[in-house]
Amino acid sequence: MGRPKGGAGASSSSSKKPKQKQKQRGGVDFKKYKHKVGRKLPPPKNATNTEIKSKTIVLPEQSLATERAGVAVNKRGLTLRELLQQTVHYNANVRRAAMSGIKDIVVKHPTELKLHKVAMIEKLQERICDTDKVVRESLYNMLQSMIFPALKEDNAISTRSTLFLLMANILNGMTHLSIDIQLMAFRFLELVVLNFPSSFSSYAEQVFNNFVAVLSNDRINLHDRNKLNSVLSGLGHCLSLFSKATENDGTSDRQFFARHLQVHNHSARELWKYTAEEDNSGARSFAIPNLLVKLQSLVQILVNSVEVSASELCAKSAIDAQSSEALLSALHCLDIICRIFIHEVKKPHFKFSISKTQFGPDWLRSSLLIHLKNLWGVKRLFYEKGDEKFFIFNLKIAEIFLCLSEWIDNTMFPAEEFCHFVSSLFSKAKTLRNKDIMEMYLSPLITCIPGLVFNAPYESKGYLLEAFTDAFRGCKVDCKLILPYLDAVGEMLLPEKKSIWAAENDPGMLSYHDALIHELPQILLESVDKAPSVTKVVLELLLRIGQYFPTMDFENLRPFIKLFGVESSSGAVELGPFVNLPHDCQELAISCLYYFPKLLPDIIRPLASCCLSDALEPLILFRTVEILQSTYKAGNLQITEQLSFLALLIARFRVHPGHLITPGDPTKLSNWATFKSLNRLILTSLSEMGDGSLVLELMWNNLSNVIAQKPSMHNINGLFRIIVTLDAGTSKLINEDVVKLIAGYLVDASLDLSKTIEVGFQPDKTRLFQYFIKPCTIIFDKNDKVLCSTLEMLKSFVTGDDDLFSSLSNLNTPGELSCRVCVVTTILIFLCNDQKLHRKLSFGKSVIKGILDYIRHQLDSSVPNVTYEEKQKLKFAFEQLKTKALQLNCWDRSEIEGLSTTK
Amino acid sequence: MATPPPKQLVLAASSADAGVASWDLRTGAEEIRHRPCASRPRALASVADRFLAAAQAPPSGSNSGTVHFYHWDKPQVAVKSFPAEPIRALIADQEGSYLIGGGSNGNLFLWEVASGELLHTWFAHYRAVRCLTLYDYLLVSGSEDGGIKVWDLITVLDEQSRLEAQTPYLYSFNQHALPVTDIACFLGAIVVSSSEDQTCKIWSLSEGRMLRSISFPTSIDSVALDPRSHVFYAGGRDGKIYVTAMGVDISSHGSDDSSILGALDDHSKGVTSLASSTDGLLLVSGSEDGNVRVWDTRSQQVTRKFKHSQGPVTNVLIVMPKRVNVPPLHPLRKLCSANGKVETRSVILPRPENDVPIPGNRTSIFMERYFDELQKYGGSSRLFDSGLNTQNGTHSQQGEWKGRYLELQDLFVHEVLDQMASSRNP
Repeated sequence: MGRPKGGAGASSSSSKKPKQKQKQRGGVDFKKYKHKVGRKLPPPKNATNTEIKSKTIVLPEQSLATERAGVAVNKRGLTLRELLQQTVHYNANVRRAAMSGIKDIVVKHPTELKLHKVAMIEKLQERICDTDKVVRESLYNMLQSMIFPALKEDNAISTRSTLFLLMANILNGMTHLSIDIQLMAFRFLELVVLNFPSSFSSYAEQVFNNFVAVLSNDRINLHDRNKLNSVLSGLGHCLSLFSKATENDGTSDRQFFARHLQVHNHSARELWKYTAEEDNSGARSFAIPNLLVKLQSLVQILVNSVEVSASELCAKSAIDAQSSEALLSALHCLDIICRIFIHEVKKPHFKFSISKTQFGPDWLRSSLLIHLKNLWGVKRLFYEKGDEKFFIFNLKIAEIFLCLSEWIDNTMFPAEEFCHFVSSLFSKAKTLRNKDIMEMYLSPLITCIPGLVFNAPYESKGYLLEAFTDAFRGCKVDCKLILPYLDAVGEMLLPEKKSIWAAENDPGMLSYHDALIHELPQILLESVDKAPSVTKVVLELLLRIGQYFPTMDFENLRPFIKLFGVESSSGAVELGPFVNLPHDCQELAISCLYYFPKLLPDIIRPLASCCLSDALEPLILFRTVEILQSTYKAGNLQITEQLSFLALLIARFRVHPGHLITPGDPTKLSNWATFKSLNRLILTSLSEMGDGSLVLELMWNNLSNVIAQKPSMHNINGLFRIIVTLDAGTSKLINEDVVKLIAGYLVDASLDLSKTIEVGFQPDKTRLFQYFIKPCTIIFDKNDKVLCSTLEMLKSFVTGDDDLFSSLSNLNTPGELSCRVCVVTTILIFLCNDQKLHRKLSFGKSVIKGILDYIRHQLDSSVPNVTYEEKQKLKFAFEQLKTKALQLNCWDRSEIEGLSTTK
Repeated sequence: MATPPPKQLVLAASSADAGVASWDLRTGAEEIRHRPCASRPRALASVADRFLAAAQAPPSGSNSGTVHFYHWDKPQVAVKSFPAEPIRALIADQEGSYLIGGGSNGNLFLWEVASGELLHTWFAHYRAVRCLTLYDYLLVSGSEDGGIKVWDLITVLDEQSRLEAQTPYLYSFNQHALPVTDIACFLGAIVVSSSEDQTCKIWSLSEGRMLRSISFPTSIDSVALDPRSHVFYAGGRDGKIYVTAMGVDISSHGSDDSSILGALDDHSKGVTSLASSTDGLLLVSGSEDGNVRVWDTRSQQVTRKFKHSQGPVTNVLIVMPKRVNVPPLHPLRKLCSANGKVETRSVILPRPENDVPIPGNRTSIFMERYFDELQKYGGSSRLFDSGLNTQNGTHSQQGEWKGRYLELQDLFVHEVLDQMASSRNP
């Protein structure tokens, strides 16, 4: 680079020479040389310029190893290393430029950040105490948006050492003389705490010290009250971390015991996987007693600042957002401190060595309650103002007092007044316009209500409950507050926790009890569409209520029936939302049935319709049957109700045997298997109910009614199976109508079979026919009279007795003779196949013979309108039946043989 | 030794009035049948194998139940007692000194067997108590309201600690949606409960929480643990006995079905009661169909089948009757006597080999520390250890050990009580 420049210098010196020549040209012949002594001669023309000129050259990089090409640079061509060096420049502008350059480089080359983040932090953390505001701000932004997210991906050990330096700088900044830097340091702290909560524990004491210092600093308090905002929110974060740690402390104690157990019990070790959270070990490192003392002084300062700012706010005509926010976060901090204190006081002490810690209720009173007394006055101040903002302050104050309510006694302020205050807040909450804010601040209040009601003096309970019930009633199902409300209601209703009603049987109180319960079914019904998550909570609550109040009057819960359906006056049932509920909710709902026996008589019909709905999962169907059976066993359900329910299920269940008709059609899956298992379940249920014939006696009317309505084949089969299981030999079956039904059923079944047999032999169908015919064979086996009369009926069907004809069959009555004969022979052949029935069938031999006779008669050509084809069929049927009949061994061989010879 | 091994009997009772039938487990011969007896599930208890106690189902319509005591060798009722309410569940502690009954209104009763004195009665559940079990001095009760509560008997019996305790019970579990039907305890303070909500749940008494919940295809009416291996048997209403793993394979986390290892399927109706022998080789099951079956748990085959009656079998037990020196039995009292002396007698000494620290239970930790201290002294430690083996000792040794054990118990109990009193009132 130097050389070309040198060349340029040489050319400029040679350009002077022509000028001299021009001057000399004018009028002089000879060149006159003036030579003075000591003067330097001009160089000869032909002399070579040996002069070397050079300028100082600034080389940005002096090492040959750093090659610019391929190295990540920012817009200005500077590398990260250079930029980091520039951040310590004395000129603020350079530092600013460097910060923005770093940002630029990281955006352009994310890998730079990944590789050098630790180096970056080490260099950049010096900027926390930078005097220039812009530099600090840009550092803050950079840490927040880039470096910390990247650092979080690292493992904990390496970050810990990195954070150690960072925290040292932050703590340094917190005690800086310049207030701006000081405040900024708190913001940095907040950032670190938010991103690396585990790192906080080791610095907690110093940090709280600094908080105390900054908050009690009058200079800030007077001038920049608004700037405290950030400090307070930082404090809030630190406190919540601390409170979490103290809460974890309790659980880790428990884990300690669990570990202890593990050591003791080698056998139990493999039983389950032991999961210990190693993270908790960090929580234990807090030096709690020291910190509590720190917090104590914080309380005082916070209460003071709240008081001051409250009076300022009230004096002003309009509230500015910042100061109200500061007030709110101060209140929030107070709230968290209260919770930490309470946790500490309540903490059980297992160890024998520590007899009593210093942090008892007395300590609480002296440290906390004395200062909080002043808040009470503040609340009154707000109370007079009508604005929403003030209302929120009051909600927050009430929250603080509520969590302390166990320790507050009348010396502080009258409990009654407090109850008034809370109930007025509730009634006012309804008028609030901004729903979001209300939801946020009201929910902690709601959770505290049960405790308050429990502790409140008797006279105040009334209006507290009044206000609460009113607010609960007004709460919409899709509102976020409904869950805290339900929790509170559950806590108040259930005696498990603190019952308000367990001790005293005051009618006034009980009316609120009823009023609260009364709301529940309505909420349940509404929530099904609007808020599915609420449904489960309400159902759980209802289940608990059912479990815990065996003597309750269930009139209040009557709307619960609508969950399953509404029965109109005409008897038709409109299905309720039950069938569409998620699985777990359905289980809860039917579990409730066990505990609501008084509602069962009204529920059972809608429930049956739900069970018959195709939308219901089979599992839930079985579950329902089982639970009703349990209820019956526990003596809470009438036997007649249960019987009619079971009969109804079997009679109405719609079977669509999909795979039998169209094997490949997935849309219509068969629920035949479901029906079979349902049938089995119902049969076992019935057999558990006691003596079969007695149960049948009770059930007979039901059964005969539903059978008379001629349901589908499957249903009749199910009903027959019930009869067979209970008492196959019952005399009730010897009844012309019933026999007609049985015969008709058999004919239908065989028709079903014969229709498909023409297509070809189908094992499925044959099996189905056997399944259909099975209960009948058992009836016939036990009851030969029924068998005989059925055979008679079949005979008259074959012969075509008109009056029986129509009543027999569900399906289109087959007019053709051959068809009828085929049907009946099929039945008879199947019956004959059953070895057990042989003896019984011999009682009906005359009828069988009659049928054979009739067929033979038809085969005689004398009868008109019998086609050749039909004759062939008849002949085939005749031969088959004859062979089977011979196997019965009840006739003389010749008798039958005789039949055939006359053909 | 010349003496034959003790006879093992299978006992079965029914809810229909068919008496308590007994069969010799080895020969299969039916022995004496104690009549009358009609008891509901979990209402039959053998009191340290000395005699038999059975709470009777109240006849329909009446609202008073009875408790019958039977001697092993006599068919008729030895003593009848009339508690304040019908007893649904009955259990005796291992030494046979106490009987604990759960009433149909949710109250629990604790009687001293020797005197028949009602030591304490307290309100436990909102609905009838369905089942009870003991783990050392911890009583676990399951109720129709779906709740399970764990009681520390020492706290329950001691008026002072009762007042001090925040809750009368140690734990209360509400996870079951429907009535709890049976509870079984396992070494290491593990409890298995079954319920009509088709689940079995495994709890840890030392941690006070539910460890697992296992869903079954049907309601479970009874559970029995296999003392040898980590499986338990759950008798379902569908007639199957599900063999279920206690622990879960870590690789197959999440699906519950994996823990059901298999099913013993022979009963035609629901299995109502189960009992496993102490060596875990035999499992006895009673069913709604009126039969009692004895299973070999290794081959999973039925080895014996006993016909009890037409009615459903509700209780089965395996006992080794001791026909020696049964003291005269006293009927159980209806009401608590206001007797101050009761309290000193009512401390049950925990057996340290099963002892598990229970957090929050001051007494147990105190005891544990105390025992640790005791072990420092060589002499007492030896005494103590040998005292532990009492149960395993042979018959001839037993008397000797028993004496020493009782002596030791007296000594310790008094010391412990004194210390407790002094530490409580500093």
